[in-house]
Amino acid sequence: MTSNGLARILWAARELRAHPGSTLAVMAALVLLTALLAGGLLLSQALTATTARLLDQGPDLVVRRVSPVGWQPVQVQDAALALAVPGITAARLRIWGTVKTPDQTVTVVAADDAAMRRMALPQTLHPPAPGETIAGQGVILSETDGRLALQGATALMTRVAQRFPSNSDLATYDVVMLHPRDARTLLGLAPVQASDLALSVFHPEEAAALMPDLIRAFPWPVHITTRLDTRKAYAAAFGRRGGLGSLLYLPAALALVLLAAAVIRQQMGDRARMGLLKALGWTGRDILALQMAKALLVSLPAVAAGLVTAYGLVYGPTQSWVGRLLLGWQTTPPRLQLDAGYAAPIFLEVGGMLLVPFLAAVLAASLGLASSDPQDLLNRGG
Amino acid sequence: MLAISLECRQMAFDYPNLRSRGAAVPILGEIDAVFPGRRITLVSGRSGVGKSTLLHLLAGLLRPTQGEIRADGQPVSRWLTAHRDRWRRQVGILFQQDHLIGHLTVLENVILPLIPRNGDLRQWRTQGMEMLARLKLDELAGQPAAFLSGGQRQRVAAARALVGAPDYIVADEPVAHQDCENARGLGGLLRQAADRGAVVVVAAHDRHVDEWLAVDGHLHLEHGTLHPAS
Repeated sequence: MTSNGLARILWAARELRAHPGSTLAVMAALVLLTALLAGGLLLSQALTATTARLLDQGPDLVVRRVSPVGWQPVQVQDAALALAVPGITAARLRIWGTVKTPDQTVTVVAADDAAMRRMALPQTLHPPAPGETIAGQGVILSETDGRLALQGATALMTRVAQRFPSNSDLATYDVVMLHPRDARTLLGLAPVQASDLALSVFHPEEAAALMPDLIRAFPWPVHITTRLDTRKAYAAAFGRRGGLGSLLYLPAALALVLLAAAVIRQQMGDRARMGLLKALGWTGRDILALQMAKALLVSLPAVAAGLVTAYGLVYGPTQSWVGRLLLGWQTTPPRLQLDAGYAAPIFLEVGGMLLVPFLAAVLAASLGLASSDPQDLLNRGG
Repeated sequence: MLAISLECRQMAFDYPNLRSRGAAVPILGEIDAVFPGRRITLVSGRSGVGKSTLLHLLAGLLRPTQGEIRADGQPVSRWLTAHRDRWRRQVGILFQQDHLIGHLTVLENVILPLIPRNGDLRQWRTQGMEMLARLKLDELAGQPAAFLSGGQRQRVAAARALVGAPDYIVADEPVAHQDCENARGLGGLLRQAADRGAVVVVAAHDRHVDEWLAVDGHLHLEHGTLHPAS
């Protein structure tokens, strides 16, 4: 940049400093708008991305036994029925279900050594012993002595021996991990029973094609879920919440229109000064450059600050209120992982969504000023 | 070297809003006049006769409704806005009302015409301080213009008009709020500008103008036309 260019930018900053109130008000409004829009989008994207990553680590197919009254447990020997279907490479019995604590509903999962290894949990965590639990970050412990009362088919009082670290995956958020024997007792399963069957297939992309064979393989009705079905279900759930969140965009868009109108009005109020500058030898292009430099000096830092704020709200330690606002989370939300591939387009999209209309409004107003005769501006500006 | 000049050819002007209200006589009509370089031309006339309008036309702030204004032989009044804007960099204008920007300092007001030209802040500051010193205003350089007296404001406006060493200077009642000493100081600066070749046009209805300014030509504006003053 030339020394003259730098001097002009400094002059634009000087002009802004002459009106600190209005400058700070516009900046604050832009920061708020950016943080709100980017925060909502980042949260939605982070949840979708985190869920997708978790599902990729899960089974290709899940088989549950159903009856007219609801879910039924499967038997240990049922795994052999699934393995008899060509294309199925592994069948694993899972013991899990939802139970109540005094404060909330949680997901109980049975875990032994093999399960802990498969779930790639931190090495600091050890499989729970009988009577012990590993609790997720979202599990509320109302008892001060570290005990957790669980109410399923039967009641069970446990001791919370460990908690999942705060940087654990979303899947562990409301999970209570139990010894398999405790989990069966709590869920009302016999020692030879499990909740469902998790299957791996030779060609994951053809998992859905195996469903008719699987249905025929079992002597009782089954409900089979593919990974794609699960992903769609999560996407729909987030979409519903996201839809509510997107209502924020209406007032945000209105706020942007009002902001642009205020900036235009401010510029039009500046007509006399612009007329004076033209009378003193400033060309229309100089006026345009000055106005755009001022707009950029206000909007670029404000939008950047808004994006940083949104990032902090979604991924940082202060993330809870965004989750409460958009998703209704009542407790400390799970730590979401930043995926640059998802975050960067959102930053660009929100930055563009706010910067382009704002700068366009300034440009449109400035063009009128730049092309007017100085005396006309001086007269109309009072 | 031939001196530059400002020239009005068959120039007339009236405000469109006055025309629509049925005003019979234009503000300025059929003016033919040459304002040569190296000379100070005084335009006198009663208040409201159109002296300021004439100066604004000469400075390129307004366009004639008829005829044209030529600067150094070029029909600047017919040029497109962008070209006229660029030409206006050669003009230094001292308004009847000072038009200072109150929240800027005295020095910042003075360097306003320099900013769109080449140079940097240090250069502009040096030029501005030199001009303020010549008008005995250098001690006020850092003060906001809003806090100045009427006479000080007028001299700051004069410094702003002259700081870029313009080729064409139009000054509207430049010493209306000045004492004799300051008026002579400003008159001296206008004379220096003329001596280096600039066209200087001063509008005044002050009968005692010869006390502070040695004019080379005197035109009288009356009933919308310019006549050599008797």
